[in-house]
Amino acid sequence: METIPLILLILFGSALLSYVIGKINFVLKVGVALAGILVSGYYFLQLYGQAQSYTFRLLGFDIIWRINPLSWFFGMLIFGLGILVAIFSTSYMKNKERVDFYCFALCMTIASMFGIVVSGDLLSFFFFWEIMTWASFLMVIYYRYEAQAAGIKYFVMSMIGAYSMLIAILMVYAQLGTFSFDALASGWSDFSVSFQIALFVLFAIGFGVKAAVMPLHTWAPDAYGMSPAPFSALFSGVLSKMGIYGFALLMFVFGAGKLAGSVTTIHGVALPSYILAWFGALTALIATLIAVMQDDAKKLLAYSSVGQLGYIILGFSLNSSMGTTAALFHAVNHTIFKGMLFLSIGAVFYRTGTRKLSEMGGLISNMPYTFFVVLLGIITMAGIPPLSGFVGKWLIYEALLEKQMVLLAVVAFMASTAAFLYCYRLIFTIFLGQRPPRFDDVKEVPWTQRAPMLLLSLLTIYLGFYPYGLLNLIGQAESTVMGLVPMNLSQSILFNDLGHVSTIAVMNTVGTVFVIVFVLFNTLYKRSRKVGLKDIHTSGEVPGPEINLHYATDFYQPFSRSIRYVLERSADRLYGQFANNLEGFFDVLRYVYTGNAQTYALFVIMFLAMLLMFTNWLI
Amino acid sequence: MDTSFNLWILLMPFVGALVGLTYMGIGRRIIARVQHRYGPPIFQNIVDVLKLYSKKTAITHGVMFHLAPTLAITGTISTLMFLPILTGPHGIYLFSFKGDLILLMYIMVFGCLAMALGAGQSGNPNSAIGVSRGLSQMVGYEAPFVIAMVTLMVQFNTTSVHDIIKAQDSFVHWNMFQSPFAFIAALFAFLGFMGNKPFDVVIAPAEIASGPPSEFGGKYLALMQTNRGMFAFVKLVLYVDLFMGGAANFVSLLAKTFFFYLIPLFVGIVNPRFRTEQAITFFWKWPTVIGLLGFLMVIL
Repeated sequence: METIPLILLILFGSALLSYVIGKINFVLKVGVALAGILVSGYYFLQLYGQAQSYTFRLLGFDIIWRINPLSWFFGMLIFGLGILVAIFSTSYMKNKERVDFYCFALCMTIASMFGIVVSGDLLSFFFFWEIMTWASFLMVIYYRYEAQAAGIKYFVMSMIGAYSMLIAILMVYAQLGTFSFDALASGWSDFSVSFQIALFVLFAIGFGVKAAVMPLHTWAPDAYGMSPAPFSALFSGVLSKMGIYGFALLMFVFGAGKLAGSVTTIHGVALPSYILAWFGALTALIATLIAVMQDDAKKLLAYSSVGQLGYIILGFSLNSSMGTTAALFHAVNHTIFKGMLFLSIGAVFYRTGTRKLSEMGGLISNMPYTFFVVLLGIITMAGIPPLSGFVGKWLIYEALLEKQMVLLAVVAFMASTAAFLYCYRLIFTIFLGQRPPRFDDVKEVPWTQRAPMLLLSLLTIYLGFYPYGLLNLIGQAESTVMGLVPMNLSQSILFNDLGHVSTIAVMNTVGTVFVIVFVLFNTLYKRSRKVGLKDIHTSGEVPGPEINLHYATDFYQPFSRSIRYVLERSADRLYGQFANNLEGFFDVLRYVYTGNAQTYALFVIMFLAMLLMFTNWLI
Repeated sequence: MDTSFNLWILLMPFVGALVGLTYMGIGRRIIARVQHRYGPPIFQNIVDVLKLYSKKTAITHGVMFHLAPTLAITGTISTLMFLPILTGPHGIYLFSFKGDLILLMYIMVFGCLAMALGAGQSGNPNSAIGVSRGLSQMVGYEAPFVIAMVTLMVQFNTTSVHDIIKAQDSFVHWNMFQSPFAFIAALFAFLGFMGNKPFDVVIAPAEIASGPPSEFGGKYLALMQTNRGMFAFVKLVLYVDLFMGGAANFVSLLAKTFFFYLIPLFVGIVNPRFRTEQAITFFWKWPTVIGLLGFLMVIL
């Protein structure tokens, strides 16, 4: 049997099977789901470097499923994080209610995402896209009533995106008479300019909702926050990447990148792409500023995720091979560090039962492994060398400077600096500072949760040391699928016309200096005496247990005062008001549909009477 | 080449720390003169650090507390390794592969982050307040700083510090004259960098008892003070490289870095401290506007 349909069959099959058998036994349903994901992951690995395609006719339409380097690249993210999340879930979801439902939605989501990346035509693309929305919606409303509002918001926003994409797809079909990507790619340049721009905008809205570009991001913080923790990792790490995959298709496969030939250009980028770049940059900045002010760990990560995706969109919209490389590399980075961080926050929630930053503190000695993972996660997220985050940031800035886009570069730099704030808040308020007495007995999470997090941390260290393998893979995708000339690569140094950095030298230097200082410092001196956390300089006063020594509430108060102009505005509130106004407007209809049977009877009689009158006239 | 190269790698951190600490000693002396005091001897800071190094005991609050000074100094030494220190025929480049500016901007944060984490684990609320203020202020001065850096990078179409130095071959071509707006913006950012008054919200001795380092003592404080001196040196050398065309020998390096050291010092002597939000918004007003003017000059 062909590998692609086999993988889809296994995944969808294990989704159904784990739901049906799941009624019997916990181990069985989790086992089925995990086995399904692992086996399909194994088959997927064998697809590396192959160019398979599988075509069949359904209801008179050609359905094409194919694999190419670009879809393999995104498939790698799906299965990489998917497997780790599934392993993490085995212990996280133990003793929780409705595990069968969870397994079903997890497998369903992974299957539909794989379906999206292998689709070679718009019809199956849209079909899998909608399954993905539905399956992830099931996950958002996992906690039923409290998740209701978040679920509705997610669904409505996804609908807006889906309809706008559907319109675009039908417009394409009306012009070309076929749904296949290849036909669209070759036919794109024959469209009129206004038609091209319309398609670009409609597709951008469709993908932008999933990639949470501002102002279409409002669903993301609630949905990420509400879904079970392991799934949040998948949500932010991979599911949002489907929007990014969409942008990659739109810009380089469908041919929106070719717009530059026919419309006004700024710095060599077509105007629509340039506007998109600004959307990306402003998303990065504003979402970061909002993230700094969050007290809910998951919402903080959600806003940060929105911001990081802004960087990726920014990279794509530059329409250069450097920018695309930066975007794809940062996409991998984002998958890794958001996986690490969401899983660690999940682990903390698993042990402490809270996500409020102001309620936690001092967990480092209780959960050292999780602390280590969060530490590496924030270093990567902040883009500090020598971890892989720096490589992504460096590529983005070089791409911007290469195009001489100075203002965009400044905004991107600022967003990255502001990101330090929430990074520190996240790690400090949870793991450092004073520990509340009720968390004294908190233990580290089991190995099934530790292992996936630690694997991801190893990955970010490795990519910081040697990013060139991944860059080669990206280069392959660019040259074969995206029609770009990949940036020049060497195997030991990152370079372009502007400058160069040797990641290996950076990693070696930092490592060597650290080892030398560490060894000297610890051999020349005696061991230090360990003292308790309350044993601190308090000007002679002895702090009793009732005195709060943990600074976690309103952590960046002065900063919030200086950015209040940003915080006062909210797209979410705007939409809320719009919805309220609409509701008021539709209230008029209540005069007609009163819910009273007698009124309806009156309507029926009036209608019959009118019918009678008009029939007399007509005859 | 190889011997001197290896020698410089070993020596440079010590040279940096000594120079930085001596400057601080001179700074204390100058401040004292302005306030009609005699002030401590110039080498007092170095003596203090040596005394701290000779302390036998220390207390620790945990792993991150123990590691923080080590990591901080790791970050600073690494930055020093990637920074072109002397140019010309007897240049000192260490591992700088011509010094990538973006790498420098990011690797400088490494040490600060480590210090912030250590301060966080000390359990002292003042330390955490200090860190939160410091990070907030960083977002403030990053605006003019980034604008200035991007101006330079676009102006010379390179991200390599070495190429930026090469472009300033003579006195009149120094960036402080060639792109004055970027220089002024960067200078404002420098005030924030150095953390002298009016931007010393981080340590604010009278408010939060010197903030982040307040729990560190003995060998930890010794490392952190060394790091402080070295980090000051790193920042000074970076500014000399960017705006005064680097330095060909140690005499001119010392003269130029001392010039830069005096600026925040003099500003600090006559000014009281800002509140944190005032400090942030200050940077977002005039310095940013001046930086943007510099942009216009480059683009047009």
